[in-house]
Amino acid sequence: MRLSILGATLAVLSRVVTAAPLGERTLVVVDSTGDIAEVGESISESFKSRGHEVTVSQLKSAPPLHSFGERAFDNVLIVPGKTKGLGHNFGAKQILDFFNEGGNIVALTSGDFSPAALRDAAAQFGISLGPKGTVFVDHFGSGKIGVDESSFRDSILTFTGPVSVNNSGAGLLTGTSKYAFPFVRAPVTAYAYNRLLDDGEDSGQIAPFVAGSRGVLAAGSQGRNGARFAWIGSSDLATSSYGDEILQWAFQERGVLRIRDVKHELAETGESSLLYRINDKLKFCAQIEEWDSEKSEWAPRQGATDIQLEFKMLDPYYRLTLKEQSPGQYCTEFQAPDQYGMFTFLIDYQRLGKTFLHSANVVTLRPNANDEWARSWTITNSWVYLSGLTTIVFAFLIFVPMYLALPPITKPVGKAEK
Amino acid sequence: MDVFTSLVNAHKNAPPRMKLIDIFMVFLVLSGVVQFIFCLLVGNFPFNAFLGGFSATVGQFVLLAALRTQVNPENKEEFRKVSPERAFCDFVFGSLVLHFIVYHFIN
Amino acid sequence: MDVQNAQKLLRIAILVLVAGAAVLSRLYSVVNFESIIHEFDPWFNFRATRYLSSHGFDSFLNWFDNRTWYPLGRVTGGTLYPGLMVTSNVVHTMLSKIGIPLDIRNVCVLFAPAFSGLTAYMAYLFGCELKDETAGLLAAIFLGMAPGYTSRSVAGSYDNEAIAITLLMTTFYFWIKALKLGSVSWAAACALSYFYMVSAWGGYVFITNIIPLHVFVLLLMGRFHSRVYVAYCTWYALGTLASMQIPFVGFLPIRSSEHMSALGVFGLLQLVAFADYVRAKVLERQFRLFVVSFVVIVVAIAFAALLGLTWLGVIAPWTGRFYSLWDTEYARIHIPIIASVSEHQPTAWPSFFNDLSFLIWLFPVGIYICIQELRDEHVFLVVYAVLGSYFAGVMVRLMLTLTPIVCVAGGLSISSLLDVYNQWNVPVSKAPAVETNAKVSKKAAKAKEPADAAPEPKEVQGFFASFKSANITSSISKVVVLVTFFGYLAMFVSHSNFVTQSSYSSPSVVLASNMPDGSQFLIDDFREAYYWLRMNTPEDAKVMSWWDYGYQIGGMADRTTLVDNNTWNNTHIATVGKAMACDEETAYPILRQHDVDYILVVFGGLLGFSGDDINKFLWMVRIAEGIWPEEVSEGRYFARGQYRVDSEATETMKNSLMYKMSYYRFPEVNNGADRVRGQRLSPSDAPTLNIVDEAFTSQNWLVRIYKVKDLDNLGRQVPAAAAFDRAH
Repeated sequence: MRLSILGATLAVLSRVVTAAPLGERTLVVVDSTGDIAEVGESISESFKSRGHEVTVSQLKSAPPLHSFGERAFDNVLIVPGKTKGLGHNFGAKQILDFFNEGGNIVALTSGDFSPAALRDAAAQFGISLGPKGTVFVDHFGSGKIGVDESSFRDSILTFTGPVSVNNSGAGLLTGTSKYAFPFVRAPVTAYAYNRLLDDGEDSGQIAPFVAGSRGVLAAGSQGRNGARFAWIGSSDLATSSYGDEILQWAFQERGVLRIRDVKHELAETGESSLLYRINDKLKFCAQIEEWDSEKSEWAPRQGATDIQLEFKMLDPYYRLTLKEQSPGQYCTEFQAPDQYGMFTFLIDYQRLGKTFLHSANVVTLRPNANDEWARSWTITNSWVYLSGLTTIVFAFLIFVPMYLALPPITKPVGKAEK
Repeated sequence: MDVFTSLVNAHKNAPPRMKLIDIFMVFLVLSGVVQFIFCLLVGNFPFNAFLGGFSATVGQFVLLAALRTQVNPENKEEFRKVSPERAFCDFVFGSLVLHFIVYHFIN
Repeated sequence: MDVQNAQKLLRIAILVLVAGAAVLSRLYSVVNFESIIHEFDPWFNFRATRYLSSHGFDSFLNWFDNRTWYPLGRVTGGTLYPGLMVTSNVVHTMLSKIGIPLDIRNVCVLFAPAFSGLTAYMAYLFGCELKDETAGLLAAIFLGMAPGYTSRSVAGSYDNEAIAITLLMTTFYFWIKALKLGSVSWAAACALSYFYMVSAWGGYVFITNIIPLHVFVLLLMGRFHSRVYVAYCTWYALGTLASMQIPFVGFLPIRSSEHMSALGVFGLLQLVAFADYVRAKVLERQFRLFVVSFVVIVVAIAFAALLGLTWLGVIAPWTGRFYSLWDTEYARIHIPIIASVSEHQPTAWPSFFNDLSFLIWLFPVGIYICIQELRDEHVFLVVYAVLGSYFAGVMVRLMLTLTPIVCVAGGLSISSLLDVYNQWNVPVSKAPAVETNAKVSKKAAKAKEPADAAPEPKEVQGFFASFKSANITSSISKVVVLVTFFGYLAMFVSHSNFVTQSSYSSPSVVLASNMPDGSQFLIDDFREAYYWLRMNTPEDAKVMSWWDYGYQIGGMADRTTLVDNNTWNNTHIATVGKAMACDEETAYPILRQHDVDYILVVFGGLLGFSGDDINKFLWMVRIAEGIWPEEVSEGRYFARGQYRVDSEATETMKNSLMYKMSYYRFPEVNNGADRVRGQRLSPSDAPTLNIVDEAFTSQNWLVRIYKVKDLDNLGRQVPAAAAFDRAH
């Protein structure tokens, strides 16, 4: 075993690594005291063949996740064993920090191995893992857990078909995080319980950890910064096609989107500025791209019909679906509302399994200037008043010379005083 | 009714300058009434134009009334410092100010 | 040089010295501290002036301010009184054209003292119209120095009142002149000066009501004559039209109840003039019948129309600000924002003496003299005195409008006194027994009084004449009285100087205090914090604070604020109040919705500064309660009826965001002893903050700035995330 690991490391060192924007420095941490250690090796082989720069190490000698203040790896796979703790490099806080800086993490457990640090970290992600010894049991399946196609997320996982799963650890989604979602649910007839508490008598008194399809065998979560976390509860699942796809998702090869070239402008002139006027016609465009892992490049994401733009000031005034104008470029045109203020062009695209897209641009809508209202001479109503004024002015101009031409008043005008 | 006839008589006997002033004042009253009726019938949009036009008539009327009083030799005791010529100059000055303000207001 | 020219020269010299004294006595704050804009409102005026001078007049009129009242913005061009900023800009431009490139800040700081000299001159002209030059000079001296006026016009107090009082005196002077002469040109000048006043100050409503009231009283006294008609109608027609050109005023003169009295008197004058005209032409009997029926019908119709339009809502009823002058309890119940301003509280007796010194007892004397003399212009003084006294009693800040009339009345009374006692056997030769002392000291110029020994009889009739003819033969009594009153005048000058120097010359931005050894200790925390904001936050950062500090943040830190002193949107202020008063879970969505980046609080517990946010906290609660009574309730913040901030504070109080931000880490300092509330916080009372991080605390803990935390990356609730961070 150690020889094979040494060999693997040598193989890594002799490989030419292609740099990719999404990071392919993968660390596989294996605790060889457990019996699922081969899983780590087979996974690392498959990722090597996909071009990742894989480092396999033992738990005790695991390299630190950070070097010189930066992340040393992009992806981490943790395969636990009998060791209770994971060492000071892999405590819950370190895992979360790594995640918050953009690193992806996959954690394996099984019915026998479920370290506390992993459980703490997963709890922060909103996935509650059963303690050591919790397994799923299905008395109505043939002794093994069958996973069927209703459990899968569409377009992230494409493989469908049953797989039999042995000795799987259990988890459930607690709801404390809104970004966690299940990959594989347990069948309706299954339940999970801690078999270490089962000493043969009164097994009926042990409360199950979770029952029915509320239980999950694999779950994932994505952070707002795009980093991904996945948990797989059994080695059978991890080495199956599902596991392969889950791992690809977790290591940023599937469902990765990005938004670029966000611009807003006046629809008529194409002029872009931070100050528009009320009732202006505005146009908004954004470029959405998806990562194609086979070609190792960004390709325009075509055919998305659910990307929405919100034009909001405290509350959305408009919510418009963007239409695809050219491959990958989504645009929409609308008329600014009749309300002045600071408005935000907001795209907040959150679909489970795909990278969250968030773009916020604040512009100012100013009211009409003094001379941008309808002028008096264009309003027919006001012609009457305008003519009134002009007649008065003309009358005045006639009055003055006539008055001066007439003789001054000498005699009193009656007893008047007006 | 006697009031009305005596007023008209007074006007007929007035010196020519007074008559001129009176004619102008009557014209202004008519213009103001027309504008007001128009506003009542059609509505007061645009309000600033209505106010401008109407106030022009009112303001000019008031200035003329002032001129009329000041020019009347009977009131010489009241207006010791204001000679009729001075009154006329003041009237022109006031009217110019009024026209300027109303012009700005209507637009 | 004969006597006439000597007197003229003397008067000019005296006026120049008075102006100099007025200017110098307002410069204490510049001497003691530095040339800085004071307080809160002047910072907005300063910012607007800067905008005007850099962007030009057109941009200024159409200015939509996107750095205040985020995200609503404020149409500043249409909601301010531009007179002050335009005048400063004109002064600034003219100075730079003649080769004195004075910085715009210095122009703004020294603006008020400069115009106070002008006010003194206008008071002189006003007094001349009322009585004679002596009264004018005395009025000028009093108005130049009176603390009631200097309190709002020291150097650095760049507020609308700086120019408004000058324009007030100018308008009144033109009005009296127009009334006395019955001339259209003076009335037009009055209207133009009224227009300037409307463009400068919201208190122009005072003029709008006092001139019609004056005319109305004259009508009631039976003193209608053509001069009244000419002066008032010209003023009303031109002035009202001109005042509607200001965007902020717009159609108010036709629409709001505060302007209706002017319109009413205008109509009434037309009726009275017409009735007068007709009376001359018609027989007595017919006339009486005619006038009674005609006038009564018209007045009844007009009054009914006014009531009907008000009831229909076409004419707005009295706005809250002015209605609260009538019903003083109204604001406290219905509009807490108006009631919470300290300047709107009723005036206490000591402040009358403080602001007016011995003029307060000369004031009734002067009014009595006016009542005895009672020419048309004196009726104006009486009306002004009555109205001014009432308003000054209702609101502290309206002491300012009382001060001019008090000074003029004082001038009248002392000049009458001098008329009686200052006659020294001058049968034919006009030897002026003039006492003039002109001493200019270091800090201020002391005022002097002229004695006009041989007045011309042209303007003095009636009661005033009786003074001149009083024959007091005993020289000793004359000397005693004159010396006594000279002493009073000297005391007036020194009192005014002292009050201006000690109470009214502090820029509230910098606080001064004394160390135990007596040396001065400057507390510059505000500027420290604003400068930190300016240097360490992104340019488009949004800062939330209570509305008092909005203008200062905008002016000194140049950051976008949520609410400021303009208080035009009560709901927005209530939203800020709710965010401050509620617990963190309720406040966080509000902060996110408004894109708030930083929160600024003022905390005086370490210094003993009692104007801090915890003391204002109840106002925040009340204002928020006005909009959300089911979520915020004032009673929950009191522990057994007491306002506690230590361990006995209620849960609602302890969980409120304002409490947590004020007392965060406070038990580490000074043993947790809050010097303002007189209570002590133990370390176990120390609050924990979940949704904000402390960003900056100033040197004396006076200003504290917090940064709002972003949404959690993992999608947890922010308090849970903060708890996790604290545990690891």
